[in-house]
Amino acid sequence: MSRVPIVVYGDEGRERVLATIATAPSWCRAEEKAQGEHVAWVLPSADESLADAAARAAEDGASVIVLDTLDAPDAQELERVAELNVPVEPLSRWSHVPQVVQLAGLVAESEGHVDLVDVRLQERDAIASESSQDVWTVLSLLTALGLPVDRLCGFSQGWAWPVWDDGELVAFEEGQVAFDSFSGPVPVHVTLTRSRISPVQASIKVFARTKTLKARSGDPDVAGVGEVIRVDDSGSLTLPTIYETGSREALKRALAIAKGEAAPSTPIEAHIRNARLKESL
Amino acid sequence: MTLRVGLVGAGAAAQAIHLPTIARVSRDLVVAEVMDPDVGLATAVAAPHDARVTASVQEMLAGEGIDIAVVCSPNRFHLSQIKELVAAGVKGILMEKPLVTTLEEVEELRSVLADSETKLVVGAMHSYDRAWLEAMRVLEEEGYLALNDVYYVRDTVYLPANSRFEDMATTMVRPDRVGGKDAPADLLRNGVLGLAIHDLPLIRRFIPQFDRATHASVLEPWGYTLTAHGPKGTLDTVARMEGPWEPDWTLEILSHGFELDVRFTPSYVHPGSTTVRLRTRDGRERTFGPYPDDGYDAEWRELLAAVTEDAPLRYDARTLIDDVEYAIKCADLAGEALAQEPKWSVTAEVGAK
Repeated sequence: MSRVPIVVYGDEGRERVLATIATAPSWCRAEEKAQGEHVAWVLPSADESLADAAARAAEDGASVIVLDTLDAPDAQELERVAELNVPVEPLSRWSHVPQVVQLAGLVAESEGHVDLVDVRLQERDAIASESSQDVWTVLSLLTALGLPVDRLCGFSQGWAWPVWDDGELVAFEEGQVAFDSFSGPVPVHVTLTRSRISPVQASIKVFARTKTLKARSGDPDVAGVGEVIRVDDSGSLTLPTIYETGSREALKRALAIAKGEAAPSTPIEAHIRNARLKESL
Repeated sequence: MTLRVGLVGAGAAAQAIHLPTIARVSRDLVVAEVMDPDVGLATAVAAPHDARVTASVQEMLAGEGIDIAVVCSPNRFHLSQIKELVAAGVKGILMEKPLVTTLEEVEELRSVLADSETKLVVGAMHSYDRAWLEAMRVLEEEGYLALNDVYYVRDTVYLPANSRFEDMATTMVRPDRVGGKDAPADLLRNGVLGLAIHDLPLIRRFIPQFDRATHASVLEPWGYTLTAHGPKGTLDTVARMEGPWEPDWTLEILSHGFELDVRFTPSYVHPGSTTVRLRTRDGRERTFGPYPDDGYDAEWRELLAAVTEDAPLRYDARTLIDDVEYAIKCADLAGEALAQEPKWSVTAEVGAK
């Protein structure tokens, strides 16, 4: 069976992507340069925009583009990528974490019955410095869950980390974001904090009239223990932990798209809307 | 020494919380009086105890007298009932929260309790929870509380309908009341003063005042969200009831020096204390609880010791009144936020540029 060539464009996080490709040596191989049809993994870069890199990949013959949006791209960039006419698998910090993907499956079974979503993210203190970045992270996660947000309200941000200069307090860095939002008629309450004490984790609770769906996951860069539970009147179901990183989940999806066995997990149009919401902050 | 106990209100709190706790805590406590305007309900609740049935506090106090009153009546009657009980010289009152519901009532209550000899305990079981108190003791001893640097508190309450837990605690006798649906503003206020109030005394220690609420909303069929801010810290709270799900009641407190993760048990049941996980910046993680005794037990033991031995109360009347004032101000801010259009609101339109 031939191994799918993967070309990495951009450099921020390149080592992580190459390490992920190395976890599937029977399925794919990393190539320095494109030689025809390939999967393109497009990363942010200091000297080339995400859209320019994606365009270059399309010209090189990419059949699928994994678009790494960890750095919260703007809507215009995403629109340009959407116009390339190449299937795009947008990847963000929590979007492909196995517990999120498992929960999305359970949410899909409950379509039309969900009446409240509670998202609680605890991040490392150094991940982001702007609240719009945090909003992007959460919106991408909710899109991956099948609960794309179309309205934000009651946004608040707080200041957590004191910045000292020669013994003098000069500022507080942003350390928390909380807002209410709506996915259609469904209220979605979101809180993101950054901590130097507790580990990175996500807790997502989806409530419906007849059941609760819950997911808990650790650091998305680590293939650690996670938890996905469905509780209803008949009892509870706990799904087995999938010990994979979000990057590996994205890789599997990209390879399936390349083989014509799957579609992108989320449409890029949804991410364009997220970018517009983020930009309206 | 036998102490005569009078129930003021014979509904769920009296039946599922206080009667089982009284039975656990002391053989000296005798349920002697049951007062409820629903005399049928009062009669059914009183029967196993051979207690006298009355329909008003005045009537109850005109009998052989009581040593301790347990007030579980609707909130709007609380102030007048406290006044009657204090005036009658009742030795102890275990008062369900909230003590009162308006700032005007707060001021009146201050004067009622100013010179009173009556020992007062509020049924805020989380404030008496052993695991919580142990964690606070450690934070105090290690100097973390003195840092006063909590920047974020998140209180989330996801509970099935109370009736599920009432039936686990006792054989409930239910009145034939049909409740109407509250208007959103009332639902929010009742939510803060009925549910959030369990944890607001705990939160007050870390965020002593709120200046503003940036957002409040009402959730169907019963619930709310509220984000309120003090000068240094934010409270973010969500509550949702009436579903079939597993109970899930948590309080997170984040500071630069420590983080607390508190897992509460639902109301009404008697499953022992909560569990508190404490992480400190030195990398240590400690867990307190669960202990076999819960906050309900502790409330009653405290009141009993105060009445019989004149033991000092953990929370004096001034603290209890300040707690309820804090909760009322929080409810008022929530109401203001609900009444206003969100200051910040955006909508994504498909295809919009």
